Amino acid sequence: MAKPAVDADVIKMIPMKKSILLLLLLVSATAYSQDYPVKVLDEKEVDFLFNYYEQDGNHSPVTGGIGSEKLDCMTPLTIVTVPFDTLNTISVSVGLDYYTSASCDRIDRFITSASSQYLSAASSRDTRTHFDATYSRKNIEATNDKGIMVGFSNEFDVNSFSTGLHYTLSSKDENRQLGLKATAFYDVWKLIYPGEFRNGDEYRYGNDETDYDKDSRLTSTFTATWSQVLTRNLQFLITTDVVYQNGILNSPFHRVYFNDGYTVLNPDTNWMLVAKTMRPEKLPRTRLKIPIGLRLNYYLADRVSLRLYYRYYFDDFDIRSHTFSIEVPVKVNSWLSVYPLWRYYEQTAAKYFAPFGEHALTTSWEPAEEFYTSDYDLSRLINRKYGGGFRISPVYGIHKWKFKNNSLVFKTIEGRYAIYRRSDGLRAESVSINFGFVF
Amino acid sequence: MKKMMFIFFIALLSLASCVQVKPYQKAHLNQEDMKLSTRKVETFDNSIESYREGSSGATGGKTGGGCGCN
Repeated sequence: MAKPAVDADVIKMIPMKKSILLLLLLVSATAYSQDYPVKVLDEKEVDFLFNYYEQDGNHSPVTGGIGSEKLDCMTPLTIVTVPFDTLNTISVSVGLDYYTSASCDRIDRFITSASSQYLSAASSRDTRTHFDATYSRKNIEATNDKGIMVGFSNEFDVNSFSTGLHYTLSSKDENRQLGLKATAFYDVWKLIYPGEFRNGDEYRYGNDETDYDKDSRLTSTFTATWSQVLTRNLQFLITTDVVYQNGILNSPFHRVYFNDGYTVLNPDTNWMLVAKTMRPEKLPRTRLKIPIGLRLNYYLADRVSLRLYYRYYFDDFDIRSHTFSIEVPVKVNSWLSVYPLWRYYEQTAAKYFAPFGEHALTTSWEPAEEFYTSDYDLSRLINRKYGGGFRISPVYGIHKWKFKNNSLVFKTIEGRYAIYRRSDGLRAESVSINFGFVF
Repeated sequence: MKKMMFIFFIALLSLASCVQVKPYQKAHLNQEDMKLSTRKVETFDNSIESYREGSSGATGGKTGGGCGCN
């Protein structure tokens, strides 16, 4: 008679053991997932991003290196990534840049009221739309990934078409990765010259497609990357681009004023500027650019990591630059991470740059140099950036909507704020936010 | 400067063969903040900097196309 009693005890014990075991598993799984985010391979991702940027300065190239650079830009961007299976993925991004620019409003600065109907109002604001699509395919062992991309962007004076190929090769232990990418951008520009030059027969003006001559630019880029895991807390990535551009490299509506002896005391009111010798910016039709970047990420301590970046750049315009940036992400808890950021950038001037009124003239009042610009983006400068960011990303998402056969998870909010202070007085601010969903 | 960079790169590459990190040892490396790619919200900053500075590239982003790009 004792046997059934033992059996009964055993029967009672099993569920109890099971529930303790289940509880332990759940606790450990929760702890594990808090430390190590779980990635579900088949998730489709949608990111809604938005950026607001504003700047102000006093060296606009449209007015020859003097005058307002005030600009505001709003940029919504949507990125959709859809893996069809574990091997094939398509990613599409669609975006819009809407900007208002005080300096572009000065393309027709001194033109008559008759001609001001054309560009003045229209050029003070513009919208750029862009679309990019990438198809990637991994091999079965997932040691390589190859793909193709196409893109298009459109704004009033520029249409851009792009295409590219990429190939990534990973070691079996995924500690090393080699990436190769080739891209080509073909841009078609409407030649919009400063208003002073569009009065005669030499340059046209108007708002129709046929009112402008066109020119093109081909940008070919070859990119090689090498990433390497060094220790369980340290990894790096080296990136090198070789960029070759051929075609129009100047902005035709940028003015360059020459040293002709006329002094302009107040460029906003002094009409001596009308008489001052001016030409549209002129730059060579080819440019070779080589940047080399190194990113180093180090898990410094529990909850704290370091993201370091350095880039050296040189080109045949004689610009040399150094960029250094640091971010220190701190994991406040399982769902919130915050980071301060700092970036330092310095460059030498392009050999074709001179400030307003300093480019030389010959005795016959022609430009003494073949190429000339007063664009302060090509001047000797230091650009400092300060800011910070955050990422809210709970393990199970911020919110979940369930549908009949699927669910939509609001997974992440990311924000970033940055202030720019350029040594020539340009001040800028940028705010970015990303709402990430998976389904 | 160039010499120092060269030595730094060689030192980094020589470190590469020192440690073999197993997949289960990559808990720290797999965290979102440790990823080597640029953050999605950083895309805009890269774009702004390519407009307002004479140099661009080696950021994993776009290297041409459209008005303002140099």
